[in-house]
Amino acid sequence: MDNETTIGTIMNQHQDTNKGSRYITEVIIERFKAAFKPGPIPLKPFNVIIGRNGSGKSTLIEALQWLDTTIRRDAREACDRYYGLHDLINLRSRTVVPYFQLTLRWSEEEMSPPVGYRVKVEEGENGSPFIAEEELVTLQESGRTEHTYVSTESKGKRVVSPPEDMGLEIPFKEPDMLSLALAAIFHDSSSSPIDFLQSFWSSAVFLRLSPSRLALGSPATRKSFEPLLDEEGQNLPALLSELTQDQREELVNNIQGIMPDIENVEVSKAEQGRDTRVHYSLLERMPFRGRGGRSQFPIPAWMLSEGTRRIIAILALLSHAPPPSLLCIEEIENGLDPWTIISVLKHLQSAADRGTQVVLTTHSPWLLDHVELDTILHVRRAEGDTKYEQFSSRPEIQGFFPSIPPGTRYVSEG
Amino acid sequence: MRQLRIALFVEGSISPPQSRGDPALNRIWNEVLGSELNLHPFCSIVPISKKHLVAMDPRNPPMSGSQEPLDYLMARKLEIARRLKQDPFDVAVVAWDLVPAWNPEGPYCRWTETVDLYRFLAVSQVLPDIWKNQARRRLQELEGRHQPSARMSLPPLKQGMVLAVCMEPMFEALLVQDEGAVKRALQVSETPRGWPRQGWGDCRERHPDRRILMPAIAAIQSIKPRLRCVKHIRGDMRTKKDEWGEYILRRLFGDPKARASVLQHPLPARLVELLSRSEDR
Repeated sequence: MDNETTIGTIMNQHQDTNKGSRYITEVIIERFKAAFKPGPIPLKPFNVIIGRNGSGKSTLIEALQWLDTTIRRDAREACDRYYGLHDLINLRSRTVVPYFQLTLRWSEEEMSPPVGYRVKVEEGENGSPFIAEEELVTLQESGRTEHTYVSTESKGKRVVSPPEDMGLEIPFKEPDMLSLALAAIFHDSSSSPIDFLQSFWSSAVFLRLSPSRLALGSPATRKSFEPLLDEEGQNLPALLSELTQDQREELVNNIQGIMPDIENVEVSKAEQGRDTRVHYSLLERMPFRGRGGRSQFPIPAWMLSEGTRRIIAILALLSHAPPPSLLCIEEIENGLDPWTIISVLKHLQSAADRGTQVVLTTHSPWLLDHVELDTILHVRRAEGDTKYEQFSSRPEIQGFFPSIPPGTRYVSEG
Repeated sequence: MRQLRIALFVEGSISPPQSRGDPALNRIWNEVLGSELNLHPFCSIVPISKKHLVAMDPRNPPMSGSQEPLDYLMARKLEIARRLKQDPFDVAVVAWDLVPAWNPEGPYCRWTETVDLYRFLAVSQVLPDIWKNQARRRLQELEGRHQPSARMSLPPLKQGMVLAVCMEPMFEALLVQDEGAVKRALQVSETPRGWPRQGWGDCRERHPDRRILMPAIAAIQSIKPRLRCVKHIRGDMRTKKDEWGEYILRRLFGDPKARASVLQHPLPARLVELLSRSEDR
């Protein structure tokens, strides 16, 4: 397939820009995990993905996370969770050299051209990932390339084009690394799409929160290449340490909307030789028997309910400045009561209004009833492939009376 | 004679059972609208969503999540009062948004939904007969009109009566009739960045909460130094919708120029028609 055409075809059908902020408007996944060739997946500032178990809901998020990890570290590490690249490539792939390909498109701020990015990853010698092609361009309204920042000269050999006044192109041949990091050295202008992509990926967050990890404590500070919060949430105490006084107050205010008796969030340090570990506690106001009046009592993380730990993690992320650029959360409803689901959902919708792109997966019809129909993506397995469709565009879903809420439509016709 | 106890089943945020203090929804309806319009007080205020009404229609599939049909909810509240030996409510006001949050694009009709409400209440399998009979009478009156606006009489405040208040397109339309009034209410002297330019006072605007109030609140939140109302209401139109609604409505009623236009809006006019304490009702 012609590379330019590939990016060029993901044109701006989804221009409901989020108050000038930038977000991924379209993703094309090819031969990655459950998805063989599902076609372009439209994304909005706020997205909820639904589908049966095993349908491929996570495939989209994992594709984005693969890119995130490869940019932060390298492709080998991004493939580690799958025990290498081999199983990551869709089973239907029958090419001589097995590969997968990811193509993304971002809308830009007003008057700026959209950004297109494509990476093709082949199975190299010994089954290791080999970045065969990479392309970063800005696009015209017509879908044609406006400016090329990264291109592929020959298999594996990529070229970073510096700004016009800097002369020579820079070759890049690291087989398991993306050229974005190198490109950023030459494009340090804040208006450059490379600078934007660097910033976008550095503050992207992917969560599959683990209640046990959320209670373990963490080093006092996160490493520079680590996300604001790691996938399982173990670095939550470090994130809480990073919050300023104002951000901490906002966090407490938001927690109180769900748990009115919580008065504060405390982070405590435990010195262990050269390693300083931090833990967090919630201060809860409760009746104190014996001396009259009320008092605050610290409740350490390991004594909090699993749902409470999840709530603190999500709200802490949203209180951080700058906030996540992209926040993907798997099965957001886990451990949350029905009222808390709605509260957390409102905070996430609010974050999307302010510029954080949110992608959630859920099995909860209750949650679906509290989002707009056109924010829902439906994932289904059909004829051995995963299909992503806008829920509201399916004829079966359009057949309901308009006042029927999304959760009911899903359960009745899913 | 005992004063009739009136319950309000109104579109609003579902609050967790343990939340502290009087919810903003109660303050909007009893303290602000109730006192400003001199309405009969509501003995209880029950948040509902349109799902409660949709669930009454047997043509529709069973609702997902937890929403029971409105008649089940009403019957349950009556039964709880009986078991707790409390006075049950005698009259129910049902106030819902015509346009649901989940799908603003549908062809919704206030008249059809109002008639359907009484149609399904009249055949309820759970409501006591007095409620079903009143609903049946009201349904006959509505269906007997040669056109929807040809009203013969107002529904009486009688035991077992359900009074329908369909808010078109939604409650927040009441707040966004006059851009200048909202600016005064929010104490904004100049137009802040991001302030919505369109939709004010436009009755065709189907989502005044998301398309007007939400960007308006976001715009004033960016003003430095922070406005008093922003310091006080710590959240936006997503997370503190009822609180902002209450704040703006109180300020509009306190502004003589804005007050007149609020009183002319169909929602307060309808509430006064149905529930005014004055003798000329």
